[in-house]
Amino acid sequence: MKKNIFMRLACVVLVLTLLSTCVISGTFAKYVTTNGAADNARVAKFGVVIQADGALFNESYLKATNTPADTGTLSVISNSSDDVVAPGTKNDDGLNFSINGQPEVSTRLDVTIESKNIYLKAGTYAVMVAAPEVSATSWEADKYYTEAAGVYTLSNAYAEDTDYFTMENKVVVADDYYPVVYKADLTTGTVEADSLAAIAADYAKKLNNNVAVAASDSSAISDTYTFTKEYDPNFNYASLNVAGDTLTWEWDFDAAGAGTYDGADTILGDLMAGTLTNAEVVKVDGTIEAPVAGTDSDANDYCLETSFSVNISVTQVD
Amino acid sequence: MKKAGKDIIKSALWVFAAVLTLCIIATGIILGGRLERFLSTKEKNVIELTPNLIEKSDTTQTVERVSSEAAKTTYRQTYFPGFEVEDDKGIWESNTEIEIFKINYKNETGDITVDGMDDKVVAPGTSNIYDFTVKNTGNIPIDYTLSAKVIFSDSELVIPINARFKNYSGKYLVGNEVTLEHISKLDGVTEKATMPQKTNGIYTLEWEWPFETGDDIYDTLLGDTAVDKDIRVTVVINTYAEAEIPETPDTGDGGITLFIIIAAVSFAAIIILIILKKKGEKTDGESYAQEQ
Repeated sequence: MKKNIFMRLACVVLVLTLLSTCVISGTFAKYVTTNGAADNARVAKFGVVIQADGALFNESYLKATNTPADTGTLSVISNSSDDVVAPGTKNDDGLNFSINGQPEVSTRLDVTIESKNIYLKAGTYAVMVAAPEVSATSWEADKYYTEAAGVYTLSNAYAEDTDYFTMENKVVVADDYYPVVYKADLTTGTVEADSLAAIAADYAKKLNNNVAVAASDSSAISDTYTFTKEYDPNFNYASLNVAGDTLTWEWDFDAAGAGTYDGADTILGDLMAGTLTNAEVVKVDGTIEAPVAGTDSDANDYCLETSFSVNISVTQVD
Repeated sequence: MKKAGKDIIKSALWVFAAVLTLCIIATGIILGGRLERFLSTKEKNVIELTPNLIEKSDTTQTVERVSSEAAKTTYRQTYFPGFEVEDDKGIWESNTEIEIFKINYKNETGDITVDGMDDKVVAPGTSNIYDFTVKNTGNIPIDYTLSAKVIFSDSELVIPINARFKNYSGKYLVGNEVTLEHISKLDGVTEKATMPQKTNGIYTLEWEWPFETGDDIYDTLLGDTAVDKDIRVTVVINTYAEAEIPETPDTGDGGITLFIIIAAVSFAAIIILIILKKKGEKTDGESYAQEQ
């Protein structure tokens, strides 16, 4: 019995030892830890869209596309050089352009607006018509003119083998005359001022976030506005409120039935016709000679073209 | 009967003596091993005060070397492993959002030139440098693996972002000192290293979307498309760290060797008792036969 006790004791010690070994081996742990981090971002929005719809004249050239490559650029050139503007013509559909978008980046707006309007400077105008049948007996004082080097002079005596001219359609233009009246939105001009120049100035002001812009070049017949404006990220270009300003025009040949400017319209019409048969338009102020056409730098006496061009580009700036 | 009793007592005493002897021997072995380090005159190995991280080329070999160095100068003590990753905003957890990208960016004059309002964005001209630190906060070396992943939401509209990624020793894992590579090169980058206790290392991720990529049309296409559709890039960085705790469990009884010895002694005692029992049975049988 006692041996059995010792036996049992030894067995118990063995078992306990084995159990302890298992427990101890479990405490020899392996340390493991994981960490992770992530970040993501999306591409910032650009999406500036400049669009133009319609045309001012039949010969308008619209260079505006809406492809992804050109959304930030617009160029519209409407030119009347092909005789599409004349007394009695108009365009009610007009031209409309807009700029929209809210880019999440800083941008620079580059603008060039050029306008030119048909114009007749204040003064006295007439048409010198050739008088081939003048003779010594039919010659009259204060009626016939002779021409030398483009200057017409009242003849004070009959001379054989001399070309004589009579002055017809004499008209006094009291104020500078802009027969084509442009209208944009609520803005309506008059024939006595360059309505297109006023509209160009208004567009420039709107694109400059409602701050007036001085013309970089200005004359009686044309104006040019060239400027840049930087806008902060998330500026809403729609707030410039350019959209909705439909530009239209009209050449009211009878001044709403009054016929006030018939003579001036006739002079301009004769000038637009170019070379008249046995006749020539002249300006009768001081010397009697042909009026001088306006240039880009000087309005001079008249301009027979009207045009309107807008160049807008929006570019991200760093 | 009395003789049998005496034999039993005698046998028991022999067993007890044998067991006691074995225990004394075992104790002596164990104590001797522990006391040896106090008696040895050899100079101990010293761990550098400012050790560098050891880059792994052979996992097994490096771990053993570091572990053996630690063991030589480590006395009976509590081991606490620890590993953290942190940046200037705090410690990474399991899925921490970090600031590789920003909501807005400024130019050299301090003006905000890109602003996503409430969203993190990227755009031509944006860039950032992101640093994070891996730290061994414990008192034993740790093996860790760092891995990176890059995901584009649109596989066809790939964002032209370039990047370079530098580890704690200045080695570039993506790009180099002069050149940044497309950020997709970061995808799948992995680094393994062993970090001695109480050390840290800084990783630097730098990216940019060049303002002049030479393809303004594509940049504009991305920006215009982004008006109606999210085009995203995601960067994920994961770390995995592990450590083997040295063989000195905090149990106070000297280690598993003692238990093996006790088990052997117990087993020997059982064998001896069985033998004695057999002898005793034989002796009883002979005595009984004699009495008969």
